[in-house]
Amino acid sequence: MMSNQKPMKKTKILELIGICLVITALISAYGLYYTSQEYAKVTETQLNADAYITGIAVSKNISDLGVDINILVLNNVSQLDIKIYMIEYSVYASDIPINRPNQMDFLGTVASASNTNFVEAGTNFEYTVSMGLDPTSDQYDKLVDISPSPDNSAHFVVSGTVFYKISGPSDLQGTIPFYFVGMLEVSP
Amino acid sequence: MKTDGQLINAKKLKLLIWSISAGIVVAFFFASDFLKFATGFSPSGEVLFISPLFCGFILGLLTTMDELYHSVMASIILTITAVVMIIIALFAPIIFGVSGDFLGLYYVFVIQNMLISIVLIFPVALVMTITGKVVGEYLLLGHIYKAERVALSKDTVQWYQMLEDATPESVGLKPIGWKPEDDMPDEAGETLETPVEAPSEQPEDDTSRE
Repeated sequence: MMSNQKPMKKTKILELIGICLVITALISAYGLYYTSQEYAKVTETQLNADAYITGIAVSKNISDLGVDINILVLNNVSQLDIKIYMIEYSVYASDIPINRPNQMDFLGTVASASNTNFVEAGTNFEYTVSMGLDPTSDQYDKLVDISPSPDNSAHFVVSGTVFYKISGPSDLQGTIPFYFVGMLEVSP
Repeated sequence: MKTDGQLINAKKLKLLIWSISAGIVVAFFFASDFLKFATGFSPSGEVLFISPLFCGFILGLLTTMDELYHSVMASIILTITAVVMIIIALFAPIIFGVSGDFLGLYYVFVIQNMLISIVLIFPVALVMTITGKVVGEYLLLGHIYKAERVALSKDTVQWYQMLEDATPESVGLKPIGWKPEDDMPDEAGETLETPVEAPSEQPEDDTSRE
C-alpha cells in the first residue's frame, strides 16, 4: 500500500511542477509581447525621426556675426518622446558654385548641447542654433572674401547631426543627419 | 477517449503543452537579451545558457514517466517553439506594421540571432532533458526499481532451486532415443516404459578400448 502511495504523491509533485511551468510560460509570453511591442516602437522612432533645415541666416555684421540655422525636428510618426541633447553642424562656404566641402572654405563647427529639448511623440519642434564667428579670425576673413559687396552672396554647405535619446526605459541613443547645399545672401 | 493508438491522447497533449511552455520561457529570455537595447529589461548574457539548461531539466523531470523518445521529442518541440517565438519577436516591427525603410542589416541581425538561438538551445536542451529524466527516474522511481530487483533476485534463486531439485521426468524431459511410438499404448493397453539411460561413463583414455 505504501509503495503505491509514494509514486502517486510524487506524480502529483510532477504535475505541480508542470503547472508552475505553464504559469511561468504565460508570464513569459506577456513579457515577450511587451518586448516585441517596445522594440517595434523604438524601431518606428528610429526610422521616422527626421530633421530639416528650415532657415539659414548668415551675417558678417560685427554686431551680429555668424551663421544661425533653424532646424525642424520631426517626430510626428513616433509613439515615443525624444530628447535632443546635442545639435552639431559645420559650415563651408565658397564663392564659386561647388558643393563639395573638401573644396570649400571651412567656416567653423558648432555643437549646441542641451538636455531640456524634448520633442513629444506625434509632434514636430523647431530649434534655432547659432554659430558665432570671431571678427579677428581667419574664418571671418574668408567669409568677407567670398561674399564681397555689392553681391553679398555665396555658396554654402551646412552638414550636421542631431543627437537624441529615446525617452523610456531603454534610453536608447540615435542620430539624425541633416544637410543643406545652396546659395545664400550674406547680410552686410 | 484516449487509446494508445490515437495520434494525440491526453498524455501526449500534456507533453506538448509542457514542451511549448518551456520553449516560450526560453524564447522570452533570448528575445530579452537580443533586444535589450530597446527595453529596460536586460538580463545578462548567461541566460542564453541557463534558460535552456533549466527548462530542459524541468522538461526531463516532467517526462520521467514517459519513454526516452518522448523526452527527445519534447526537447525538439522546445527548440522549435523557442526559435519561432524569437523570430516573431525579432520581426515585431514588421508584424506591428511599422513603416519605413528596413535596411539589409536588419535582416542580417534577424538571421544571425536565429542561428545563435538554434545552436545554443537545442544541444543544451537535449542534454538537460535526458539528464532531468535520469534524475527523475532515480528520485521518483528508485524504490520501485529496487523492489523489482529484489523480486527478480528472489525469482532467480527460486528457479535455480527448482532446477537443482528437478529430475528429467519431473520436468517432462524424454530420454535419449525416445520416439513418439514409445508412448503409444500397446495391445495390452500399457505404454512402453523406456528406462532413462544413465549417462554412461566415458573411458578416460582411448587405450582402454584396445
